[in-house]
Amino acid sequence: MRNLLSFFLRYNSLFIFVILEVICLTLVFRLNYYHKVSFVSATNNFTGGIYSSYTSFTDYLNLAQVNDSLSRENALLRSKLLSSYWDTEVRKDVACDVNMVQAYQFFDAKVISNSTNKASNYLVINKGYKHGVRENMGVVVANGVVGIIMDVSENFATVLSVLHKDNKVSVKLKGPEGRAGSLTWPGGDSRYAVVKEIPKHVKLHAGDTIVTSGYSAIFPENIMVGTIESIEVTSGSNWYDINILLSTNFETIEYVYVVNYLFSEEQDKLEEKR
Amino acid sequence: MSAGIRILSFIVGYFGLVLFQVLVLNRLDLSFYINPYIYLFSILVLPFRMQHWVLMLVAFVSGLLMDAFSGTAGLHAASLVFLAFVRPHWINVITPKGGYEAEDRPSIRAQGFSWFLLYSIVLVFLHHFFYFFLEVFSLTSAFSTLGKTLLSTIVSTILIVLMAYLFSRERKRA
Repeated sequence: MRNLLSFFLRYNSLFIFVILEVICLTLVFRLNYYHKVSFVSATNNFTGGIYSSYTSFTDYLNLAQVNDSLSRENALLRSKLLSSYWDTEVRKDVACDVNMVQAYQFFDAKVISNSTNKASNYLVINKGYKHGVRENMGVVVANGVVGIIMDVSENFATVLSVLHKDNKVSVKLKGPEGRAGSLTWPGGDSRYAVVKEIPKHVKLHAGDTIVTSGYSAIFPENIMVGTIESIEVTSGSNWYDINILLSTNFETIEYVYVVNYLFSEEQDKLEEKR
Repeated sequence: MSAGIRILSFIVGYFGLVLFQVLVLNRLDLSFYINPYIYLFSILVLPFRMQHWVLMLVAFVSGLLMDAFSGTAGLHAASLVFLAFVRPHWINVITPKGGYEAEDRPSIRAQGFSWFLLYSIVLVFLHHFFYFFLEVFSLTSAFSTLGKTLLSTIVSTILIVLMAYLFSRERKRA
């Protein structure tokens, strides 16, 4: 105790200095708003650093649960997204021209299922009976043909792809006097198909364009199908075997148009009479 | 001079300096970098033999008075107490071996111009340094605060040396 007292006496000026400074600084930080704020923010910088590194550590421990809950929330939000709702409104583009009669309507549809690697390939689109899709309508994309509607349910339709061994599409050479043939798919590469029934006297060149003929009432006339890749002449046959490069890229197909031929009923009735 | 008169003259002199400080110097608005504080002259010229703790206590009360005038609670008191704490140590450093028998307080007449300049410029610098950094309480503008400290120290020291001449002459006349 005596030692302590003598210690205090020996360094009394230092202690008084410290005491007085503490009083002064207390006044400074208690009574001056600016210093109060900057003192708090300065200490927050330090303590906040410790807290944030601690929480970053605990965050790491909770990562699994957080991931779970986030992915659940993601799924919930995704299901509420606009793209999860199918647009039930059908936009039918109608051209108004006095001298013209509308023969074809196009509905847009999204491909929700597609295959290209089987012998019989189908697509499923997200428009069905409700939207006006019927059997035997054509399906096209902007730069090529896709297939023919095979089955229709309330909200969906199945498309018989061009890449199907039983599908035949009536095509012709582009031009005013283009000869008609039929397009089939031999299987294999989804980029190539074969055109048959074009007689041998027709002059052909590799690179010539093949378009739809418009005879079948499924596709309108002059829709791009592909270009001639190579021409084979088989002996004993009157027809060429023409390999064509399809203009439709079936691998990446996403949006298609369903073609509604407005006179199909009338034409069918007429053809039945024969 | 009796102790009472000395205390009274200190109080009156200090009041005068504080008033000069707040009414004249603080309103000069010379520059952002020049804020001279000359009220600490009173603490600089307190007697050598004053007890250290008394010196600090005087500085504390004087500082609070200055704070009361300038609306800066504790700022001036803190820097002035710091000045008072350093003062005896600094005097010990620059004191000649013989000590100061002739005069009992720092004076430009007794100790000479160069001694007084050295004595005051360091203490003024320490005081200003303490004050300005406590005032901004941030190191983000440390360079501008340091510049402010240096320039203000120069101006304050010039004023304090001038005052030292002025008051010692008055005292001799009296």
